[in-house]
Amino acid sequence: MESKIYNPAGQPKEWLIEHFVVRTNVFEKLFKDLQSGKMQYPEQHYLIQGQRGMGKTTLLLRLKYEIEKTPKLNAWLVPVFFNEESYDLTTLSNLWEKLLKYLDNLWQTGGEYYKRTDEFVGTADYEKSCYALLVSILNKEKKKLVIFFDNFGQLFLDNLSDKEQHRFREILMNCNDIRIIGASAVVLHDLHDYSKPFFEFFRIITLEGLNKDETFQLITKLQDKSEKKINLEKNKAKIETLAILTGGVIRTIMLLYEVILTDEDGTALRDLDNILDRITPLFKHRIEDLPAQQRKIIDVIAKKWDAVSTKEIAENIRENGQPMPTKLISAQLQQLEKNNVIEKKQTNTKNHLYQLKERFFNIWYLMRNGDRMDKCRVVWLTRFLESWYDDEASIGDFIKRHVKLLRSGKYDPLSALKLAEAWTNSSKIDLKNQALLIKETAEILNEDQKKSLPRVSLEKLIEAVKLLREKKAQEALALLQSVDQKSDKVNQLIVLCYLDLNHPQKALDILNLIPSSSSEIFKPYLSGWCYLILGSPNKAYKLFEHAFEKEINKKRKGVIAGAIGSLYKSIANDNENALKYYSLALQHDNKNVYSDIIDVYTINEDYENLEKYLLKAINSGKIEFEKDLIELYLFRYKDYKKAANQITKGLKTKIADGDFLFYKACLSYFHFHDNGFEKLFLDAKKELLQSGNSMGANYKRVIIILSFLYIDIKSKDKALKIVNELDHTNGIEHLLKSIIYIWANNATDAFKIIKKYLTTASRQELEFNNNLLELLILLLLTKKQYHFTLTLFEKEDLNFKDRFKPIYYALMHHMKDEYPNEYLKMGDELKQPVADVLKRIEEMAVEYA
Amino acid sequence: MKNSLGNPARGDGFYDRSKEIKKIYRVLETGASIYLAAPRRVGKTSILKHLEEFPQEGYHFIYVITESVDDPNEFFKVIFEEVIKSDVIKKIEQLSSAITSAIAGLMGIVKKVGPVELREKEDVNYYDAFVELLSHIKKEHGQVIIMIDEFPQTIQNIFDKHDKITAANFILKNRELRHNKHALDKVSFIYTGSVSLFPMIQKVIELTSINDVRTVDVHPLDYDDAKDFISKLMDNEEFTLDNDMIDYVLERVKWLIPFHLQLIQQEIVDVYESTNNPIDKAAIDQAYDQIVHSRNKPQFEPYFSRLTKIFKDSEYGFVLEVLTYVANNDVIDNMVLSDKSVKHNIEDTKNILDILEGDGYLFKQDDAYRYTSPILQSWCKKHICK
Repeated sequence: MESKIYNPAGQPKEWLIEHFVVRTNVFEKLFKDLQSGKMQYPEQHYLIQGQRGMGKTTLLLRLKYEIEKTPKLNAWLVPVFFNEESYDLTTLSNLWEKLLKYLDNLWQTGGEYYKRTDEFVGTADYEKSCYALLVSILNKEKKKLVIFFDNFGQLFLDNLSDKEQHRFREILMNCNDIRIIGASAVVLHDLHDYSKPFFEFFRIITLEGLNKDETFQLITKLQDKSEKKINLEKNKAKIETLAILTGGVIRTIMLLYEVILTDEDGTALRDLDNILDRITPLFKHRIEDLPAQQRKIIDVIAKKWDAVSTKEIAENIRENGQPMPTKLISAQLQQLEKNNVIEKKQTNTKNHLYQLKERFFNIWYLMRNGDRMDKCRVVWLTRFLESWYDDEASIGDFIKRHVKLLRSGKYDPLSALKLAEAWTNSSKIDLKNQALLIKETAEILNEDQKKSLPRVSLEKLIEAVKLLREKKAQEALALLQSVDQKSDKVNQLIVLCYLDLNHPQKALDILNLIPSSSSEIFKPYLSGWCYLILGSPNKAYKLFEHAFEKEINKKRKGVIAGAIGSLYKSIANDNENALKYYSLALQHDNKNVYSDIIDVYTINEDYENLEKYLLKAINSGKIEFEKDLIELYLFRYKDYKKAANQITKGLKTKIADGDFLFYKACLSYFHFHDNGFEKLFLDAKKELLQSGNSMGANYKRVIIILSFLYIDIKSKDKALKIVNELDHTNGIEHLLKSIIYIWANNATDAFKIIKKYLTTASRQELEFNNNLLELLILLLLTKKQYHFTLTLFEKEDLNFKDRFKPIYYALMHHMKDEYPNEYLKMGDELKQPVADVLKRIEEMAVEYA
Repeated sequence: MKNSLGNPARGDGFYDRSKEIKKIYRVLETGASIYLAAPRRVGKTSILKHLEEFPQEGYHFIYVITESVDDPNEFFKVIFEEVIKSDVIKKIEQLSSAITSAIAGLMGIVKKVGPVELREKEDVNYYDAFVELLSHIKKEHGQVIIMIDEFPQTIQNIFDKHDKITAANFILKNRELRHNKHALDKVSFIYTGSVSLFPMIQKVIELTSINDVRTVDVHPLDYDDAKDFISKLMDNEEFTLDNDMIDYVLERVKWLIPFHLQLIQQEIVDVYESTNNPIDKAAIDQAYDQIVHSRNKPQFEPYFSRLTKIFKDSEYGFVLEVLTYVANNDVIDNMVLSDKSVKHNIEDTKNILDILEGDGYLFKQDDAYRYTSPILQSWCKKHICK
């Protein structure tokens, strides 16, 4: 029977008809169409697709035989079968030549038809002339052709030149003398193949693998014609397991059916061994047919079992000591894919993954050609499939069960070792489970066997450093702890992990392992940090003092003092010590802490000191703080009384000062909560205009404030009108204008303004306009302008990535399809801020609709 | 009526497109040439074939497909040969003995003419030969209409094989032919193809080079015709679809081009055959879902692959992203378009969107674009969006 299974064309006609038990629906449908199509006009062409062994050739032959025995059809329709050996059929003219010869043979003309083509040899229209000759003969004989063309894609279609492809389409569209029913083992996956112009004239019929029920049905029907009977119900689960492994390929199923007959009590695994032995000739043939380079590639892919990338394949193949170029591998992979040996798994990058298409073939390969570990993987696969069929357990559940088995003491140590080895090389198991598996396996191994257990490599240390940088402290710590030899570097990293994870005592324990000579400033500073968290500020103070005193450079002293102040402020909430160190920092020329001092008083709502510091600054001659003071009272502390006093004070000396008029208008709004605020500002604007100050800063500020107010009350039309009065010469104007334009869905103009602004704005100005910038960026995200926003974050000189980190990761959240790795870099501490940003964006989508 | 899905509808498979056919004759009466414009699969070729088979009195239609032609002289040769082989010339020969001798003279140029015996001399200028042939056709013979299918593809082929100048000259040569004194008032052309003509022309030359050609749009079927169309397709089946169910079919298909109606009818038959139950809404939904099965890839893939011919590089990337975005989100507004244009560095999105609208992919409503066809949208969602 096996020889018949492999070569349907070699089977007697009657045997094939009798054993045609599946694919009957598609046969009937096609035959009905052949019967009803009179070919007065061009008829539908078909392309039957499916893996090897799916029954394509059998189906074509079955149709041909049916036409031959149907008098109504055979009177006018001539079925032609081209089998897989038709290697010479690579051009359109070859096809016409071959058909002419076929007709010569069929009607015994003595080669007359083909001979006529001699006339055309050497002419530019050779193909057209041959075609015209064929059509004229068919018309004369009042016959039509149906061509059953096995392996149609690979033998014929793929070889047509561009011009022939278009010509073929012209013929398919207009010819009513020939129809084609092709079969192809080449599954055409990607868009490119189907762009060939003629494909739309073919209706594709895909022969899928038989499913569980169909497999059962096939075996039931085969039983009818067999002398040996098996208990089908009893074998149902086994048939299902093995149907999965065969991928529903009819040819392999027919083989396993025999195996089940002879081995009724074996487990699936034992059945597998039997079939593997039986099927060896077919699969061996399949491998030996491949060119040497493809065989090497198959070897790598088969042994990997899971889908692999081109790069991985390249890493595993050497030719004369050189790695095989990936370009060459890609070309061979394409070929292998076309031949249905391998299957491409699409990924969201250009680097696709490849695996052997028929999993059963892969299992056979591992059993026959694999080393110890490869065989182990197949055992895992079978067990996995068996357990999957029991209760659909996941890999995690599998590990749990396996660990339980290991702990029961009944597990064979060598098998456990194999499994642990296999899992270590698997990408499907996470680090935690991997560590658990190794630990649990080690428990049942003797000392010798333990040496074979996989170790955590140095590469993992490098990975740990990377993780720490990415703020994945927990994962970094897990890896660092598994390093056998812990250097100072490793310990320092562990300290940072513990600090990140808020385990100061553990960090301290590790710090104590580092000799003092190793890093004098680093150690006391980090130790101080630990004690601060542990709530021992005195110890921390001493250590910080030590770190501060050891430094001799004045500027660096200032920086260290500032950093210590910030630790006190943010970790210990110890403002007293924070201010002490800030003051030390000021003494050492660290002016950056000035804002921190104001921050401290702001947080504490210590107006007295805040005012004191501002006044101190003003008194020191920096009169610009006068307006800051008013703005502080007006906008920040809302101390309208003091603001009013200050404004009155100002207006007394400078009656016509636009600033004070403007502040007065603001005061009217903020202090008196007048409903007519809009009118007040418009009046202020008018006054400024009348005073001839329309080009000055005050006028602009009124417009700016009005713009802000309109944004505040979400009055889009008014905002758009007022903002158009701005000529956007400064930062706020640029930003307001772009914000309102974006709000009004005018991205084109907004982008122009933003681009212009960001190329001219100074760093200080950007700092100053931070809030507006933030609003703008949030609005850009609200309006889904992700790519433009990304261009802003990508400008390194702007440093937006640091400045608006949560917004950046919110953007990456929206763009994670394009930048999957970037979003993963987000540290845990950013999760909440990013979630807040995303929530805000959602709210803004409604507010700024 | 037979479901001729995949092939141009002929004979029993052709649904009477009387509105379009009337429009075509109205233009032809003026002596002008036509560009038959429509998204792919609306039924252009079927209409041409119908005109050829059932012409109005006084008209002779000759269908020529030049899809594989990649050389200007070859183009005129193909037309020349098709005209000589056509029934038109046979009919005219019966009317006039002059033309018989004229053709005999022309045969001197090309030796013999006939399906098999055709031969060629070196360096025959087929444009000149064709013009000479036209000179022998008299006005009283009737109006000869040469319908050139896949004309834009021919331009592309010439562009690819030769260069931009050759392609531009080819377009101008066709203009010259239309204005030749032997063609005027006697011969008109109908150009069409599955690739849009105007973007193809614009690639090589100014659009003014075809400003003498009148555009006739082929629209989808209107609701009543679509209903009638489905009913006729059902005539051959063992089961029937009641009125409500046909309404529901049309509601699902929405864009009522014959091709999509044929597709769903085919799948309804499939659902019926596999269940043997009367067709209800659930069955129609199932049929609709089946349309986007990968076995229909040859029917749908060209919708997207043809875009590579019209758009290049970043423009193509932009177009594909816009189509996939609309597939997933039903609609794309100006702001999302702006985002995509930044991503692909596209300055002029309007021209691109005009083409997508003209070719039946998208339509604009309330400042936003949607899919014209929900079927196309479903296909894109399932097979193009990855």
